[in-house]
Amino acid sequence: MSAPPIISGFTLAALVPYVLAAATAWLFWTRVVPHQLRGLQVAFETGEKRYEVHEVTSSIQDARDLLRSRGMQPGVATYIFALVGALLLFFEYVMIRLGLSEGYHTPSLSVALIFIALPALISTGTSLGAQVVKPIGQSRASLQNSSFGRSSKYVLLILIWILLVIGLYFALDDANVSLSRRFSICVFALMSPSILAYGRILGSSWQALRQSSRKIARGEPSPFHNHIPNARQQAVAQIVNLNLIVMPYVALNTLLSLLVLLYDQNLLLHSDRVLELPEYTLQTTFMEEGGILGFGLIELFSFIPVTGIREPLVQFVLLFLLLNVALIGFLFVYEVARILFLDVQDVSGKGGIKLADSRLLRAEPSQQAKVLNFCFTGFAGQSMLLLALGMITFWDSAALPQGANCGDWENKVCGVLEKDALEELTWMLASGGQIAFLTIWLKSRRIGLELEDITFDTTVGVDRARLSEMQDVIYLKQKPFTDLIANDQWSIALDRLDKIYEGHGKQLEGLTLARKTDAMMELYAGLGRWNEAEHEAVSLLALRGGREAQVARLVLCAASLSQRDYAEAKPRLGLLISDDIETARLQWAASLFNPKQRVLEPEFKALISIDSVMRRNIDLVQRYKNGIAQSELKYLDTPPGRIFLLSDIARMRLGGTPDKALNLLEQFIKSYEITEWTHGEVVRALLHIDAGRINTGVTLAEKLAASNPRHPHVRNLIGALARAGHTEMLASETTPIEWLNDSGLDWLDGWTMKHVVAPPPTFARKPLIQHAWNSNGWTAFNGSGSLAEAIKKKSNGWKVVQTSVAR
Amino acid sequence: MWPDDLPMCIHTHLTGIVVTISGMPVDLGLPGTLDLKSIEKKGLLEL
Repeated sequence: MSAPPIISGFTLAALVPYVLAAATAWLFWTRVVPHQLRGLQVAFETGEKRYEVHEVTSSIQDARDLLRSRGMQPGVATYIFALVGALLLFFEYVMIRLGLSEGYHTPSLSVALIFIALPALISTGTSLGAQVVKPIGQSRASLQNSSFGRSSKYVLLILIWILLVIGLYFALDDANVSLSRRFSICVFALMSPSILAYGRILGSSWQALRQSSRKIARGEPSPFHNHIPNARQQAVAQIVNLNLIVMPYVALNTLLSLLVLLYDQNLLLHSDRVLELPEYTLQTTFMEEGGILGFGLIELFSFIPVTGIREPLVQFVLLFLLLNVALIGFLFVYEVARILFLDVQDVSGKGGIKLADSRLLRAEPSQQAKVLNFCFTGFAGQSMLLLALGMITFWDSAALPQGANCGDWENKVCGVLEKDALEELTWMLASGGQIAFLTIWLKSRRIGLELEDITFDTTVGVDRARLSEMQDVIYLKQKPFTDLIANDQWSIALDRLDKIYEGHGKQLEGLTLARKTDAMMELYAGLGRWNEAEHEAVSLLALRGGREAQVARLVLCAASLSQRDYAEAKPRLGLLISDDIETARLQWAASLFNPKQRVLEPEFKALISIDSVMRRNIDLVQRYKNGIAQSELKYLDTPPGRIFLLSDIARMRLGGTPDKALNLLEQFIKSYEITEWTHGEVVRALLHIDAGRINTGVTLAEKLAASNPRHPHVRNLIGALARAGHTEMLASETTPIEWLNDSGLDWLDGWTMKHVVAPPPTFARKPLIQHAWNSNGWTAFNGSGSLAEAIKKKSNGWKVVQTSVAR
Repeated sequence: MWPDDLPMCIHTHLTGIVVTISGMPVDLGLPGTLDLKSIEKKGLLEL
């Protein structure tokens, strides 16, 4: 059977593969992919050996929505390109075999090669980036970093990688390695990050996949599928299960085969009986026929006298052995998506790839898109390349045009893509995947065996939703934490937190966890500790929806803005309810902090135009420009109104007018007949201290400590006075919140991590001054023009802060 | 009170932009590098 030729020019027959490839890809994309992505779940740790499992895409529509979501376009495009490329090759070949075309058409081949090669290259870049760039959520307090810098790192990495491969090419040239071998080795090296990613993901998740698919195949619910599977699900699970069973054996076969090849490539020579078979062609190495296993099976099947039985049998076995990696990569890309979403690699194995925090995956569609993008770019790209190579080179490259058959391409493309080079590349890519898998699989054996000890609770979400509806009855109707904090009732809030941590028995465990997370999120947000509030908000979103979901989404937006991570804030702002004043304020703040990049939509302008909080925010920015500490607007006795007043008093303190500020505070308290306001009293004490009335300030502080020992600002004040030797330190707090005052940590280092928008209590170190300038520019204010000077210096304004504090 | 003469515990009440979350006021700070020209150009202070 000779390979079809490559023909130039255009015929009507050349159009058919395009139409067929496009139609198949479209069907695949609109029907198969959404079906396969239905039932994606995330699992995250909620206790020791205890995981909660939640469904992300419960319907086909959910899967379609996810595929259409923002950030998915690159992954979708790459996948479709590679799919169309592989299908074009396939249909060109089918047309020839059916006698409808005389050969491969050069335009179709060109398109197919570009469509396959580009995704393969992107696959390398994506895989390299995912493995080299530090995993999200582990290197900084903020959970995500969607910065331009992170994307640039990916591009830079792939450029460096390509340069290294070019270097390898020239080194091989110097060593007089043949052109075909240089080609195969260099392409293999180029693709190695994708191959390694394949091995790491499948190797570390094998145990979890195996256990799950075995149970489903038996008709039982698995840890990740909380319902009795139907017949179709059982059949799919059986296929996955069988593949998983043979994977380690196939990989072991590859390893042993490579060892034999390294030892002596002539060790395995076929018997005369095989050589005499009409369908058999001698291969360059036995790796091209599935290693030792393929070699042995060909020998075995050669005993079958009937060609009609022997030939397809041999072809099937070889196809499986050679294309195992490609088929698993291509067909099981959805299983990989499931694995990556579940994020169970840490418990089912060792050496996996972590793409996103599992709680973020549950909470943020942008993270879901990111993981799917990796599946489609990093994973499917290389699998599609291998699949296409497999098609071309299978059965002694029966479908590969060579020599004069290449027509115009004889000395061009065919000169590089030679038979030996492509065959060698095919088995190298396949073997690389197997070896990477085997290495990680062996490392993961011990960990994976303990998987049975872990509880995967798939019902907790439903139970929690049911209990949430009754929580007002269970806990009696309690004031929300946000109300308590807004009204400065910190002591009550912290007492409530203690009660939540005491728990209400095992039955309410799921609900208690969500209540704890909710409470912590709101307390941290109230304290301005945004990194911690963000972590809790992500956890809460992962745990449940409802009212808390909107609050958590507001917290996430506020956290991103406070961390000055505007790229991260963008998708989060998009998820907020649009006709809400709290959303409108955050949208305005996002535009304010990043005015060149972000336009404030008219609907938000309309909402905030009559808002008293926004009037005061705008007034604050105008005063910032002009360096005016005190507002001319009336101070309101509302929770935000009190904060604005105390903040103006802080500016007056910075400007050196504490007595004027004290008058302002006392007038406010008197005019609104305020009898209880701990935060206000803390500031009153501070103003006395500023004015030199230390004893009055200390007495006030000690009274506050006696009546409100748990109030965080009282504790701050007492801590500062105790460090200055004016009073005794308070006993340590027992809440799960870590207080810098009480902890034995170096709080000078801890400050920038915890208090992202608050100036540090001292400017003892340069990073603290820089932090102060970035968190609140008013720190440069001293009432004598220093703020204007700092504003002029822009990012170097912190240098003015440094000198202005020495006033 | 502090060696570098910073008003004591200024962090307990110096805030920047204040928004609310479920009615609770929260502080977003006020980056010193605020681009005041662009802010004015975009009409963000004229609502």
